[in-house]
Amino acid sequence: MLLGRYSAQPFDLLRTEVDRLFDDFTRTKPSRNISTSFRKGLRPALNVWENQECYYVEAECPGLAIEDIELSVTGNQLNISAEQKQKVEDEKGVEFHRRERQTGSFNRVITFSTDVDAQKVSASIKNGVLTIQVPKAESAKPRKIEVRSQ
Amino acid sequence: MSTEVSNNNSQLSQEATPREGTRGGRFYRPSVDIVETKEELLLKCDMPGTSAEHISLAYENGALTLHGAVPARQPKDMTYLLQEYGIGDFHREFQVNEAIDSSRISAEYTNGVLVVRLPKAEAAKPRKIEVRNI
Repeated sequence: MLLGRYSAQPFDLLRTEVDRLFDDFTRTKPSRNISTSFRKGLRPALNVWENQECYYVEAECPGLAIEDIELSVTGNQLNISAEQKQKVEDEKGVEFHRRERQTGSFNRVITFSTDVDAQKVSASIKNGVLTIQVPKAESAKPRKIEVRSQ
Repeated sequence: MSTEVSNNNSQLSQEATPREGTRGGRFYRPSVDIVETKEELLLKCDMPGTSAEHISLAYENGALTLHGAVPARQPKDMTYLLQEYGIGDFHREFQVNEAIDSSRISAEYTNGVLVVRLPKAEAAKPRKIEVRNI
């Protein structure tokens, strides 16, 4: 079975974002821990997970090297952007039989629900997969409290 | 391997037509660019997360098969806060209706992109024929 590469459809995302807006508006407990913007489309697609210490953000960026990617952290927001250079074969005398790969610049912002330690954010790219580790701020980590018996 | 291949051979177009087979298991269909120049067909295929050792590439009777195994890279038993793409092996097949010099096919994998060069056979290269005045 051949599957489409990306499971999240634009309308699903729109619904999620609208749900989030209503959640924020009604000031109930947030229904999820992060939110993202997708103003310039769905690139790159993201997978995000967490453990007690860190958030992990993964994006598939085939064709990009680490120097093409720019990361910045502002407050509890992570901004991922990249500028993809035009490809060499955009010349005369060539004929495209397929043109499915997405190119061009992209930008996405991820907002975490807890504070993060901007100083310790680290990122690496391997075989076109970008992985970003965003440590949570000390105040956001769960703390075990010892109960003493008297 | 595919058990059934529907293939439109009657099409005289030189475009590489996809071979859609029925397959067991789940595979992802990688995005490709196929560019034709006078000398070669150049295929660029987005296969993030695999590696040269995990890619198998075969060319037989005009059928080009790409397969990229993708090792698991995320911890098990964790829940995603956001999941916008799935992770799994890549697979795609093409029928190349162009005479290719199969001994000179080369491929390389850089930054998650597989680039396959299929040089045209001498007979298939465009040739300019001079008309002489007698």
